[in-house]
Formats: sequence, structure tokens, C-alpha cells
Amino acid sequence: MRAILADARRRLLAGAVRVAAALGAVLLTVVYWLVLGPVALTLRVLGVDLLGVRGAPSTAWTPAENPDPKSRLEGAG
Amino acid sequence: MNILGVSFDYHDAAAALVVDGVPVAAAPEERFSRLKHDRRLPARSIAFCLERAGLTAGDLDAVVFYEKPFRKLTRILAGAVSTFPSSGALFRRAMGAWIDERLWVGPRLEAALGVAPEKILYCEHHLSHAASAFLCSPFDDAATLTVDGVGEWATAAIGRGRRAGPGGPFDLSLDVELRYPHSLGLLYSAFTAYLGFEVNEGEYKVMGLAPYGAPRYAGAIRAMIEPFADGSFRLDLGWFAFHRDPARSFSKKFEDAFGPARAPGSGDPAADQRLCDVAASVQLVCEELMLGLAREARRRTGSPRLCLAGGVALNAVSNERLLREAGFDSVWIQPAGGDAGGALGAALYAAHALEKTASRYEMKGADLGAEHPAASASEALKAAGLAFVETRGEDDLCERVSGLLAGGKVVGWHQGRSEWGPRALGQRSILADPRAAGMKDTVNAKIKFRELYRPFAPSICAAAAADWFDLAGPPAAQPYRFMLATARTREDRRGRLAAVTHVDGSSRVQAVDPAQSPLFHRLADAMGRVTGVPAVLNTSFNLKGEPIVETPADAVATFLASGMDALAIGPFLATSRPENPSPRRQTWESSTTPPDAWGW
Repeated sequence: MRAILADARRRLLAGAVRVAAALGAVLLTVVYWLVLGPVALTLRVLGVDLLGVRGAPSTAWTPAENPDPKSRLEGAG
Repeated sequence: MNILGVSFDYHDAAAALVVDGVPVAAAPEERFSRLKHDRRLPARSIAFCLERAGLTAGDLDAVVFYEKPFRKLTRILAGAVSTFPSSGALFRRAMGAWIDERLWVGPRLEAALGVAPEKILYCEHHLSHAASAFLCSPFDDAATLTVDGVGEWATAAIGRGRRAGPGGPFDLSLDVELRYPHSLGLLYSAFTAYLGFEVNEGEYKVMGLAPYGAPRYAGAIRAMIEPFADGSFRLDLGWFAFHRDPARSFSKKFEDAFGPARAPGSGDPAADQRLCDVAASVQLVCEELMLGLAREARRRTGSPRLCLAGGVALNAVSNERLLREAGFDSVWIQPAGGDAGGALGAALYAAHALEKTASRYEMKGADLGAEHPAASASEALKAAGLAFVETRGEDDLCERVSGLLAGGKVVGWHQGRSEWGPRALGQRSILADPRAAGMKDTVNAKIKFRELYRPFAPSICAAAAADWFDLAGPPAAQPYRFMLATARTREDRRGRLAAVTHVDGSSRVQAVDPAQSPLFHRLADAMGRVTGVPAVLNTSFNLKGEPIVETPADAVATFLASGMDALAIGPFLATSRPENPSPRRQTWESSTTPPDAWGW
């Protein structure tokens, strides 16, 4: 009986994971088109080059920021 | 101070423990989990590091993650926005991974280690790489150059390090950086995928394939790149897809120019001249770009010393050209140049940033991994039913093993602490006689089950290295100590080093230092007495697609699964195989194409 219940629980969890993954994909698709889409189109109209594809004509180097060593380690961003 | 550095979530998760500025233990997670390029939180590596130092998580003063995850997220979002509407699949997969785990680095570390949130710190990806090189080097003042696929935004960075011992000033700063998507590492990886190899794993195979070809596509590859006089460059994204497609790195235009891509696992790439020529071409362009970056580091910093790290710093052929042509007097390369090395760099940087009295450290050997007692070796051999003898000390062991090697046998060699970095340097190695050309095919086909075209490296007594190879620097000095650069085998010696000289006459030499690797040096020396060649063929102790062995049990299992003739673990030597070995090696999980191959 216990084995049957454990198996049923495993199947239920596996199914739940599949449903969650499908729902997640749907939600992320909605976010992609309804949130990122307008942002992307607006930036494109404004000519913003987030990836630096059109950079300075003579170099691709970007100056690096160098805060003091201790504060440099703080925060994940 | 006790500082733990960790890297995970992308590939090659690792942990490194630094006590008062000195690394006491470091290891990639794959050695323990047996999952190649394991990217999960390195719980086993962390446990090993703490145990080695006799500490608990409660003794840690800081835990440092090797990059800034939220900064990385901004780059991924910027990429998805910039390539809208063709980045939908990439956005879904990347965000799925981020929501699942990557957003929660801090909480996951807190849960795994039970440390307070304020003890968790974050070091930028390329600063971690730079620290892993500079703070392990013998230099007090040097330029740093880090080059890889991508970290947060940076794909390469030039900086400078200065230090003056405990209590003295310490400064390690990055001056300039190249930013995503303009990346030498991603360029090379795109060709790795095109040639049918696994990204973040198959780059060595491209490097090994290159000498079979001619660089007739180099002009076409240069056309993908907008170079500048200061060594920087931009990629023409029309050739690539890695910035918008989660499953593909190159565009249709790319295949139109170079022909159809090779399907993974299909046929022998060395038999297809076109593929060899593409490999030769991308290798040549890689070398040119690396030289440009290194010369700029020289010009900007004025320093005659260079510290190099990042995944591209593991390209041994490129490193040889850098040693010869970039204009530096001394070059030091981190042996764990990839992301695993970031764990060590992050911990070392924090040690110096937080602690004025951090000790000065120089990495002379790479033996930072786990060591296993002789008892566990004998137990593993007995459990497998292997007959073995206990040798009478190291001289006896070396005499016996060199005799076997000279007789054409292939020997598994498991000694001391495991190596830090992807190269086997005489602690976890498969050894053979370097003289006969046929030995290369034997080891490739019957021992490691890998592609026949791939070359093997020689490990040679440091004092004799310059007699046999045209080294691009002092023989005992790094990077040859850590097998990080190639050298030409001297023409008059090639016939006696046929198994370890590649088709173009090059060889990825390890100069074995007697002070740092006394046992391995003794073995190479014994080979010299027996054969006249003070060297062994040395390849990592693993089978194709598997991590290097860690424990004696791993070594025995791999020995039984391969065609090796003998196995030396610590003082024990097994020279025969049971007719029906038991247990057979369990099949370890092998990595599939990682979902984070393109740094998202």
C-alpha cells in the first residue's frame, strides 16, 4: 500500500512539474510579447543601442569602473 | 581570515578555501559528483575544502561568489530586448533558469552553509579571473589580461595589479573591458559548435584539429570582425545566432560561407579537409586577436609582466605565440583558467580586499585537491579483485613503472593531491612511452576511447626540456610547469618523441619541476635511464566524456573499464587484470549540451 502511495505521489509530482513548466513557458511568452516587445520597439525607435553594435569608430574598449576594493564586493548587481 | 570562493550555475562549478591569504584547498565539483562540467552548487567541493582545513562553515569570515548575478541578468535582458522578436525561445529558457535558481545565489548559499547574509559577497567575473592570475603569480606589479566567452557584460579585460606584502598596499583594478556580444571566446565557441563539438568542452578538439588543416578560411573569418588598432574588436552579429537563439550559435550566412556544419558525433573530422581548414583558420584568427589584446595590455600598463586568465587562456597554441611575440618578459597563466578558477580568484581578491595582513602567495604547484590515504587505495584494489604489490618506496615504484612503460605498457597513475585545473600534471594521469608513434593511437583508441587525431602531451624533466623542445621561455617556469603552452619538438628529437609530437611538430609540454613534483620528476628521470628519453606520455586519468578520477575507487573503476595494463595508486602497483572484474565500473553521468553554453 505504501509503495502504491509513494508511486502515486511521484507521478503526481512529475505531472505537477510538467504543468508548471508549461504554465511558466506560457507566462514567459506573454511577458516577452507584452512587456519586452513594447520596450524593444520603443528603444529601437529612439535608436538606443544596448549591445554596443554601433560603438565608437576607433575602439571597442569600454572604461571599467573601479570602486574601492571592499565596497566592490558588496551586492549581487 | 577564512574565505571561501565559489563558482556555479554555468559550468565547472568549484570551491576554493583561502586562509589568511593562502589557498589551502580548491577543487571543481565534477571530481566528486562524477558529472563532467557539473554546474550545480558545489556542496561536495565545499565540504572537501572545509574538511581539508579542519574548519566548519561557522568558521568562515566570508563566502564570495565569482560574479555579480544581477549585473549578468541586465545583460541577458538587454540582449533579449535588442534582438526582439527573434529572441523569444532564448528569453523563455534563460528566464526559466534564472527564476528557478540563478536569482537566488545568496539565499542558496545561506541555506547550504548556514552563514549570515552579510557574509556573502560578490566579485565581478573578470576581476575574479584577474585575481586568480595576479594573486597566484610571483609578481608584485603586472598587467592582467582576462579573456573568455562572457561574464556579466565583459568578455575581456585589461587591468593592473600591485602588491607589497602583508600590510602593504594592494591594488588590483580593471582598466578597460570588451563587452558582450563582442567576444573572442564566443567566436571560438561558435566554430566549436559548427565543427560538431560540445561548447565549453570541445574547444581543445578544435585546437587539436587545426594542425591538420591550412588556414584558407582565415580571410573569411577576419571579415566577421571589425578590428581596431588598439587590439579591440567588434563582431559582425550577422554571422552569429548565440545572442538570440538558445540552441544555435551561428547563422545561415555562416554556413553559406563555410559549408554545412558537422553534425555532432558524425564521422572523423580529421578526414574532412574542409573541417580541418576551418579549425586551422579560427585558431589562427584566435591567435591574432589574442596577440592584439596582449600587446594592448603591454602598451596600456607599460608592465613587462603579464598575468593571464579566462577560458581562452587555456589555448596552449595561442599562449606560445603570446610568449614569443607579445613583448612581455614574463607571463604567468592561471592553470584553472576557466570559470572554476574564478572561485579561487574571488576568494583571493576578497582576502586582500578585506584583510590588510593577507599573506603573499605564489602558486608553484597545482596540487590543491583531495588526497586519499593508502588504506583507501588498498581497499579499492581489493574490492575490485585486483592483485597488487606494495612497492618499497618511491624509487622502487618509479623503477617498476618506468620498466612497464618502456615495455609498451599503459599505466594509470594516482598519486597525492589532485590537480587544480583541467590538466593532469602527474597526480591523476594515464602514462605511456612517448617514443613510438603507435602509442598515440593505442591510448586514444583502446584506453581513452576518443578521437584518433587528438594529440598527447609529454611530461619531461625540467632540466632536460630545452634540449628536447624549443621552449618559448625558461624551461622550469610557468606556463610550461602547468602544461599551458605548446613548443616545437626539436627536429632531431622528433623520432624519439613520436607519440607526443603533433603533426605540425608541436607539443604541449609539461616541464616537471623536481621541487614541486618530486615523485613525478623521479619517474620521468627513471624513464630517462631506461629509454634515454626523460619523459612520459601524460594524459588525464579519465575516459572520453568523463571527469578526471578523484578517489582510488574512481581510478580502479576507470582502470577496469579501459585497456590500461597497470595501475599505480600510492605505493601499490597492480599489473594484472581479473578475468571477470567485479564490480564493473558504474556508468557515470556524462554531460549533455549545457543549457548555459552561451552565457545566459
